[in-house]
Amino acid sequence: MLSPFVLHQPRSLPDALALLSEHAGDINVLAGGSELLLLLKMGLIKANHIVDIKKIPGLDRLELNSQGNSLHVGPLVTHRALEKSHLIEQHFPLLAEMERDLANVRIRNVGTLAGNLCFAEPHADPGALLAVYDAVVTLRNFEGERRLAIKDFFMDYYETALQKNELLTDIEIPKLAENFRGHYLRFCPGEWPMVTVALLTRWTGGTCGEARLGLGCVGPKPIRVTEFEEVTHGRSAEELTAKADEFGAIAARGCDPLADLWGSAEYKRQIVKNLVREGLRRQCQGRAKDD
Amino acid sequence: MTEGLVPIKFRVNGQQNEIEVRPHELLIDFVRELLALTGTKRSCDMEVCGTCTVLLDGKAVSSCSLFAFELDGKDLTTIEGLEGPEGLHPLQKAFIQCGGFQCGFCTPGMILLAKSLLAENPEPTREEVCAYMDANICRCTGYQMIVESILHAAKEMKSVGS
Repeated sequence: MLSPFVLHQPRSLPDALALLSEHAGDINVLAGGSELLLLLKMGLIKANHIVDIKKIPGLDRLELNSQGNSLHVGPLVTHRALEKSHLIEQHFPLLAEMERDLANVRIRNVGTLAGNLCFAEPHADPGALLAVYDAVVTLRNFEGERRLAIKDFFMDYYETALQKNELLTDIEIPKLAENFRGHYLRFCPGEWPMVTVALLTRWTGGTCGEARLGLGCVGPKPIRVTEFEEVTHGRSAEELTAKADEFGAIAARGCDPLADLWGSAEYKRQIVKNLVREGLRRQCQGRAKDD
Repeated sequence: MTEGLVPIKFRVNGQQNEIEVRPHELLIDFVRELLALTGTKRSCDMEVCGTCTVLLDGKAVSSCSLFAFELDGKDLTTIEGLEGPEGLHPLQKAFIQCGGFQCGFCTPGMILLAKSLLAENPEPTREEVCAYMDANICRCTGYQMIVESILHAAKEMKSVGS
């Protein structure tokens, strides 16, 4: 049995933000609840107030902006809604693929993408993928809002830049140009992923004009591996394929995994190396000069 | 603001209900203790194992990790709600016929998860059944007979429907 709390069910965003401000530090936000309830049950967080935002209209926004070049995901959008959306399948197939594998269908039915980000569980899927998409989150309090790049949103294990009086009201995911290729790869021997890799490459003929590599679960927060992105820039598909092992090793050096129940830090680095090598080779397929 | 009880209106296994619940009450405790529907089982208590699966508006969810007040306006189905005037649900019959259980502890959750699968996808392939049912854990059967049961039920339900 959980500890008693005061329940608030505001019908508007300003009302919710006023509550967050009034009880800052002593109030938790409930959307899907799949992360919140776990932590409440374990006694890791405690608050005398809970604000349930599910009765606020409009927070389940899932649409492209008017220019059609960016996706907006509201804080009530569940993993399942993203997994089943034709819009996502058509314009963000990697996101749909990630959502299909995330946790299990019961969790995807209730859990939200925004909630997943806010709790910053280090063994989570979305972080690495949103990092390579250069996603931007909007954080709002009763006075106004600010926008933060996803890389600045995650701070540490279970820590984000979200202030106690703020609500994450939007996740913006820019659409990729046509000439991008992408893979989302994960190693998940249990319920939570051990290593996640998101790799995007942009091509002009047989040359890689840009690479973006995101790693998740192998450090306090999802990261982009700058060294990998720099050394792969401007290389041909043949070079990248031939040196995939070497570039995988650069990725492995760029992360800082912890040893835990699932494996040693060295083992996880090896998995990173293998997944990056695999992703790189797949993305180079059919890109060689003669093709 | 609600310091005391929260009034909720919901349907459970086809029956309309209005009741007041304590905000911190979990759905599983409400279902098992107040509604006395003890077919819903508690095990891992952290949304992993699936023994506490119930259907909310037809969607499979973990009742261990929802609040009872979240039932408001929803349609709840538990394993007790599957049997109709014509007897057991085809999934229940198939689990018996194909030996889809041994100890039976995971069975209510398995059957409800399978029901949500067949509602979405009435003719799943074996691979689709495995991918979807991956959500719930069984420690007896090795899963093969559960998969057989669901494929069998899908076939039965199709022939009844047509």
